[in-house]
Amino acid sequence: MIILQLKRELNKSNTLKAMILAAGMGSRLMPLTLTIPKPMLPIVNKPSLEHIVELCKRHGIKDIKINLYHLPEQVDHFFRDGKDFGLNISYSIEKKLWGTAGGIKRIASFFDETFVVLMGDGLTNIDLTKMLEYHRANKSKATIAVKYVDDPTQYGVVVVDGNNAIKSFQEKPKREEALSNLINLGIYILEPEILDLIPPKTEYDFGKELFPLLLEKGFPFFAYHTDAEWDDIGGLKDYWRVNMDVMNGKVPGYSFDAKEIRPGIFVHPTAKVDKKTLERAIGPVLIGKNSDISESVDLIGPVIIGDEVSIEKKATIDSSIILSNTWVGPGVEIKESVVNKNYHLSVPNNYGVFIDDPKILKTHRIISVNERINQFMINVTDRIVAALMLLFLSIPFTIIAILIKLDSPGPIFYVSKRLRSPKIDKQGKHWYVYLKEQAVKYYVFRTMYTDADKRVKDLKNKYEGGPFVKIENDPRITKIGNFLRKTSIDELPLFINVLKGDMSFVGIWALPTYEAESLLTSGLKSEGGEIDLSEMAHLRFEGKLGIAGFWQARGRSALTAEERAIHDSMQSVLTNLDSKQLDYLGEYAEFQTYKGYLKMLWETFAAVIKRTGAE
Amino acid sequence: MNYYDLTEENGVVLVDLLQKRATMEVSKEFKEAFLNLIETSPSKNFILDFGKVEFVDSSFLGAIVSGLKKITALKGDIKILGLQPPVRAMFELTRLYKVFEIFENKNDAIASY
Repeated sequence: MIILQLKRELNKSNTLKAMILAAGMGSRLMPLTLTIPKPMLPIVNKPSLEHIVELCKRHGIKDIKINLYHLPEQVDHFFRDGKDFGLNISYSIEKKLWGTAGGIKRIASFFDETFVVLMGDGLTNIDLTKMLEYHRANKSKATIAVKYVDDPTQYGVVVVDGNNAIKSFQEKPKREEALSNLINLGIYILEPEILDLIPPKTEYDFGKELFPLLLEKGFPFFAYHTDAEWDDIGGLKDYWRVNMDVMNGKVPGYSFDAKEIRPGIFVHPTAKVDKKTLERAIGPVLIGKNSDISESVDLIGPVIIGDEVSIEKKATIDSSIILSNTWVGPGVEIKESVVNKNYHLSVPNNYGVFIDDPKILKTHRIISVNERINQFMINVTDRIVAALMLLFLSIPFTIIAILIKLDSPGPIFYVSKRLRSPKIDKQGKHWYVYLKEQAVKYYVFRTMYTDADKRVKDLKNKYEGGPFVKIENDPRITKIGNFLRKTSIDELPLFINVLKGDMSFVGIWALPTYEAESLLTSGLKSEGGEIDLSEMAHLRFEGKLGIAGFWQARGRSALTAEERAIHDSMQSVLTNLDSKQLDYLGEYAEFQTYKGYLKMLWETFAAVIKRTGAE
Repeated sequence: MNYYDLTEENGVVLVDLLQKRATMEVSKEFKEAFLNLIETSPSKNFILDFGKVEFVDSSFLGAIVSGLKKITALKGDIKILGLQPPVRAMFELTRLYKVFEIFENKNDAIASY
């Protein structure tokens, strides 16, 4: 009877929630983590976070919370609500980094039962079921997974007594000062009442703050010994080594999402690999989804090739990882490296090169037939409409040209240089602009006196700090110019640019070079600096150029600089959604379609005709 | 038109958005009403509940950023609650999650003040 009761009690309490910490910047893995959040960096073609989520699932965990900060959309898009994994996954998107414990306190209401805390960027096969049993048996309030290592100097060291109760901690001790060889694996099982000890609205760390407090308060606090696989991926070397180890079979229990076509050669069924290349490949080799490997390529294992990778002929890949969506040019040699669309990172030299030559490395993405049709239709429509409009407008244009000449001396057109979707990259604290293509020359009717451009910098400073200057009763503007601007007729010659293919009808208004520079260097902040919208505003540079944008259609000059920036950034973001994201985004996905294009076109023409905002 | 229901809990103003589609058709009037609410409300600690909202466009996001600007100047804040997945994706993609604090649970949002 008692045993039955006990069993029931155990069953009841055997559910466990999980918190996976995935918010960190992964700065030691820069520049890979500039475009991929560290938990999404693949280990043998599977994000480390997916390995951790699967571990949770194997141990019967159903409810998982993941905290996010850096590039949260990638994790969100990959796992969504967890249904595809048979789990309930939800997210805590952090506005700022709250620390390991602070990030849990922030969403304390989720943790109404015993929960496990795991790092999203490691690799482990720890037995969580056994750890929970141990936690229960000891009536522990907090249990830390620990492991013996030869060299504890890079880790948090745990000191325990004969009953494995935790006595003290040591952070990265010197070898001769280390009190034990037991290290904290960053895997914890906690009771919810522990959260009461964490101060609210404070950045707070488990290791440095909460655990010492638990010791001080005398909570039942135990160490669970494990000899499970556990790899902490710190820097590039660790990342590369863990991948090579798994490929070499040094980490037991990993299967690949690919077919083993001969011993050690794993190819995903959707990948296309040249037959002879495959025959002479030296394993272990893993080739991911939809990848395309040409003839006469040397694959010398361990080699990991991600998804949608394309490798041209006579390239050599030796003991390396080629991350997804990378194109590798013909004859390129890659050895002991991790390669991303623009980065070649050599592991032994711990040295990386940014490659801006599209003949060596570039982005590679498979575009669906639908996307291609859409793009073709949009291009064709752009050209036809532009040609028709220019034809139709040739007489009014002549009249306007004469009026401009009569009104003030100077040329008919004003030609300004605009950045054509510059490539932006963040390196540390600095932003770099790569001008892959020359600036686009914008043709508009001249609306200002000819010396206006020289004075613009002084004027800008007088009126407003940021870019996007629109000044009322601007003294630089001519009489006819005033009319042309209000009616947006000044911009009609841009149809020439559309006809030339420099831009589409639907896209983001290109900023003049000085405004682009100002936005990149000063950003976009509220007066007191409390609200920093710079990161949002910078998104516009990734967008496609065009005449009709969100803010042109939706209010024009009546908008504040912030509102305009949001319009541009959202448009930019929507243009760049990849096909995998589209079905998730419902109505947002429509924007990328031909229908969405026509809708935008119509909205803008309607707005221009109504002359909204500009008046 | 009524854009939101208002309640107050522990000195925090809960603004429950009523539109399924928070878009340019309502943004301008919403912005005026919202800015007025911010000014007249004795409490400047707001929670904006998006639970019913299925689609947000850039003009509506612009309106709530204008609200944030105003309320920050008055030493208050706007926290975001109950984002449906596509709307949450927009907050993530546009990096607006770095200016608005986002919650899934009302109690957590209230506790953050």
